[in-house]
Amino acid sequence: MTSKRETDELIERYCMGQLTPEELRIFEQWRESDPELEIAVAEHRIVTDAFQVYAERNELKVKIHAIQEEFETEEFRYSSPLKVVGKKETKIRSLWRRYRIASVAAIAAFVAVSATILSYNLAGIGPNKNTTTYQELRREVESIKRSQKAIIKDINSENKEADLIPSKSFTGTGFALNQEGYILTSYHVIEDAKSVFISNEKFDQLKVETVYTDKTLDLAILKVDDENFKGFHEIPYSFKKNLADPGEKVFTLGYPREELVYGEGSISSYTGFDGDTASYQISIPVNPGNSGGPLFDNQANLLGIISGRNINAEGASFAVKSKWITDYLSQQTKETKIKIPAQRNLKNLDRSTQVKKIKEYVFMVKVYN
Amino acid sequence: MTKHLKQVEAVSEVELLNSLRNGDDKVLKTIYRQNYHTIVNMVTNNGGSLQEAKDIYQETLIVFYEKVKEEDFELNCQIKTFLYSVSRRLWLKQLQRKQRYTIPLTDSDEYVDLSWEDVGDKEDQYNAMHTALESLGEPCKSILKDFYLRNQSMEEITDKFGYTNADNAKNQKYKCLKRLKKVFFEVYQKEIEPKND
Repeated sequence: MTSKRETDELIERYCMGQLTPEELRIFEQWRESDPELEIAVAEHRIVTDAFQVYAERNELKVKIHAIQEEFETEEFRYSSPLKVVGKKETKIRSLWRRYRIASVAAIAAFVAVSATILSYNLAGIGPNKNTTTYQELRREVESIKRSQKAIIKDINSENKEADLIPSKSFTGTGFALNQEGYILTSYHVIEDAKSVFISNEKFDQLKVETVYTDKTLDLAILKVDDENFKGFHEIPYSFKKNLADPGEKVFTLGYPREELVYGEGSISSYTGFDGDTASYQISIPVNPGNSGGPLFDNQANLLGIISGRNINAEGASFAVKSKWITDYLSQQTKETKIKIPAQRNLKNLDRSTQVKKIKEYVFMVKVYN
Repeated sequence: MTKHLKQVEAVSEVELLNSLRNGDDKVLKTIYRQNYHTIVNMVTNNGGSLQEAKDIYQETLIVFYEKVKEEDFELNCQIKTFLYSVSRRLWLKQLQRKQRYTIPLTDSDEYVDLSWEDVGDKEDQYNAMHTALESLGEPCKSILKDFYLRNQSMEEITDKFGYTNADNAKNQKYKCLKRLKKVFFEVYQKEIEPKND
C-alpha cells in the first residue's frame, strides 16, 4: 500500500508525463479501478491548470493595463479642458509629466473627474473645425479636373474609362518619411478620397494608398503603390525632437500651385489655433495647397507639418509639431513600421542647396473624390 | 473617435483574430481603442461608475483574449458584438453580486445572451487561485511558481531557497501544493455553487 504522499507524487509525475512505461501501465490500471484516484488526478489537473490561467491572466492584465494607460493619456492630452487649463506649453508639459508619474489611483481619480467632460469632447485636439476662422489649406482644382478629363477622353475612346473620372479634386502637399515610399500629409487633404496620387519634378505621377489616418492630429500616412516605384533615395532630413521656440526661423516647401513654392518666416507661438498645444503658430504666408507641407528650421530639421491658417488674422498659419508626429508614427503596427528618417546633415548648407536637396522628397498630393 | 480608423477598416476581422492568436499585441490595442467607448458607456449607462466600467472592459478583453487563444474557439459574430455581450454578462454578474438592481439593462448595441459558464469559467478559477495563493504566503508562493510556471527543477529550487538538500525542498513544495489545493477548492466550490444567474 502506498502512502498518501507517494500517491500524490505519482499523480504529479503522471500529469507531467514523467512515469516510466511500466509505472504508467500500473497507474492506468489503478486509476480505472479506484474512483478516488481518478478524482485526485482530476483535482490535480484543475489546480495546476488554474495556476497556469492565473499566471497568464496576470501577464495579460499588465498588457491591457498598459494599453489602457496609453489610451487614457491620449484622451487626457487631447482633451480641450486641458487646453483651457494652460495655454502655455510649459504649463501643460509639466502637468503632463506629473500626470505620467502619478499613481494609478490618482490617474483614476483625475480621469473620473475629467471624464464626463472628456467624453463630450472627443474631437479634442486640433483646431475646432466648426469655427469659420480656421481654414484648412487644401486646394480645389477645377482646372486640373477639366484638363484631366479632356486628356483622358482623348486617349481613351471607351466610355467606361471616362465614367471613372472623379468629379472633384483637391491638392495639398506631402513629404517622404522613408525610402520605402511612406508619405506624410494632412488628414484633411485626403479626407474622403477615392484615389490619391503624388507627383513632383522627379516623379511624374505615383499612385498612393492611404495607410493610416488620424483626424484629431490631422495627419495621414500614404504609401506609394505603384509598379514602377523603386524607392526614394536616402532621406536628407530628420525630425527635430525638441520644441522650437518663438523667433526661430523656419521655412516650408509646398504646392499652392502647380510649381513648388518656397515660403519662409518664423515660429510665432508655442500653440496653434485656439490654444491648440499640438501645433505651432508660424508666420509663413501659406495658401490653399500648402497643407501637408513640411516645416523646417534653419538646419533643415523637420519641425512639423503645415495644417492651416487663421483667415481673420494676417500671417497666422499653423503647423502640427514634430513631437506629435513622431509619437504618432511610433504607434503604428510592426509590419508597416514607419522608420523615422535618421539624422542627416544639411545644416551647414545654404538655403538654396538645402531646398535643392529636399525638393525631390516633397510632393504635390492630388486627391480625387 | 478611435484612431487609425482607416487602417482598422482595411483589415478584416478574421485577420485581426489570426494576428491576435499569433501573439500580435498591437491588435489588442486596436481592438481596445475601437470598443472602449461602447463598452464603457454600456456600464456607465447602467449604474456603473467610470472605474467600474473600465474594470469591466479590462475583464472583457481578458475573456476575449483567452477565448481567442483557445483552439476550438469560433467567433460567429462581429468582435464588437462579442465584446459587448461578454461585458454585458460580466456587468450583470457584478450587479447581482452587489444586489443593486435586477431591472433589464439598457442596451445600445446588439448582443448575444451569454451564460456565466460561457464567460466566467476562468474568472472563477482565477479568483479562487488568487485567494489561495495569497493565503499561502512565502516561500510557498515562489516555490510553486518556480516549479509549475517556470519549470525549474527541484535542484534549482533547493539552491535558490537555501534548503540543505533536495528532499527538504521537495517536502516543502509538497506541503505547499497540498495547502494550495485545499484552499483553492474551498473557494472555488463556493464560487461555482450558487449558479443562480
